[in-house]
Amino acid sequence: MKRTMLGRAPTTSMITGSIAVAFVLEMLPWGGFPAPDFLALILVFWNIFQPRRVGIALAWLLGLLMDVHAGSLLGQHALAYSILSYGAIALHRRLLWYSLAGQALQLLPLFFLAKVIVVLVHLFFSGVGPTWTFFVSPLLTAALWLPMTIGILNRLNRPQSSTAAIGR
Amino acid sequence: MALSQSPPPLFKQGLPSRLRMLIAVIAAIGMLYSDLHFGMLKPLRQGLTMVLYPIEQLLILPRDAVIWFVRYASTASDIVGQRVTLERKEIENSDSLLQVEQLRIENESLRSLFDLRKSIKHKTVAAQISHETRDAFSNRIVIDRGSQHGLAPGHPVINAQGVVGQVARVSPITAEVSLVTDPSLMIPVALPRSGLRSLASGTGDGQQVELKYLNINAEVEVGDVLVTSGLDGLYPSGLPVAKINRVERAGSGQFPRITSTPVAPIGTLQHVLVILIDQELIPPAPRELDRPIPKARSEMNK
Repeated sequence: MKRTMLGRAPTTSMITGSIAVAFVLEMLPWGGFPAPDFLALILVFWNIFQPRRVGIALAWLLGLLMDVHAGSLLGQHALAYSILSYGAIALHRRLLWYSLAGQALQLLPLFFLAKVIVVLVHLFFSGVGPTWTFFVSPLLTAALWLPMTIGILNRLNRPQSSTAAIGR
Repeated sequence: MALSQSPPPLFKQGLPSRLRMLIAVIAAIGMLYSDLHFGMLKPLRQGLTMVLYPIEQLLILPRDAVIWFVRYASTASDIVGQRVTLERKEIENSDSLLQVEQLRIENESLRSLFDLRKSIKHKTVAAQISHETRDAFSNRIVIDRGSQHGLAPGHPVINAQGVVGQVARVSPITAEVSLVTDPSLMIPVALPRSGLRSLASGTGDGQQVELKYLNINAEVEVGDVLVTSGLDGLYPSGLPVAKINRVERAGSGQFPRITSTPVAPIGTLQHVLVILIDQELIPPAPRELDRPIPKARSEMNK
């Protein structure tokens, strides 16, 4: 099976840009809809492909921003994202040898864990549990792994000259 | 094909990722505790809220545009129909408004007769609902008025139908409102038909409100309306909160399960009214209490 890998190193602006896009998607007025966790998705992606550039510290900071946006206790998402990020970094050598669908399947428990941490923290501090729709979101997140990875890899594995012509 | 990343340095590896995770986890947990118990992080949260606010507002714009367009494009017949119902309502209301005016005058004279303290008339602030928060457990909405307009945690929020909720957290220009369906919010209510008093709080599914700790033999029926009892000194008494939709009689030693649906439906772009209550009357917001309510509830369930 062909190993998925990056053709060349992504530029810093590409990494920050993709994270910014994920954050904006996350901040759309979703209301009660169990939207996929875009930020977790892009974090895991860069944790796996660029573990030396996107690490746990960044995950923690982004989690803090999410806490403010979601109006939850400060530290709730920071905790979940840093553990998520650690899990992704721990997986990163093994994961790339799987097919894309296999990768998504391997990552599903990780996304699930991140959600469960948020739920547990909330349960512990306020004694209120979630509704079942809360757990639809990790499924959607894992499903989005395929289109996102294909999209980013296509962009990076394109020959250098053509991207230069586009002006990147 | 070039390598996608430079080979890692042999000797200088930085902290191992397990240690980094441990630091991050400890920092996060420390943050949770200090946010919950000490309130030291308020400035941090307010600062970050102000940073995120313009982005949030920008992202809401397209949605508002769609809503506005849909409203604008509603057909003429709709508008005529709405006008008819509004006129009918106005006639109905004018009658009761007159009555209210009469009652107020009568009430005032009676009170002065008894030399009672005149009921305080509080200032109000009109606000618009901007969006729901993403925290899936707490049923909260964000409104477009904040501490600059005089809002503070604890202020009741109402609309034309009845009680919407209570301000939970404020930033200078926005405020989070816990809805009546929020499990962490408790409202003292009364049943006007039977004169019973109880506490209402959200069930956690975001749809319903339940009555806590009512007597087994309580005279409660489907269709009864819960109104605020005003016992907490926060909510003006007599505002409708919810309508009972299910009553499960309890066995011995249990409380009956009584659920109700809120009377004030919540949609985006709706207007609400925040009642600015005297600061001294306000008890601390639900989350800042030292968890007495959830504890009591878990003991009840045992």
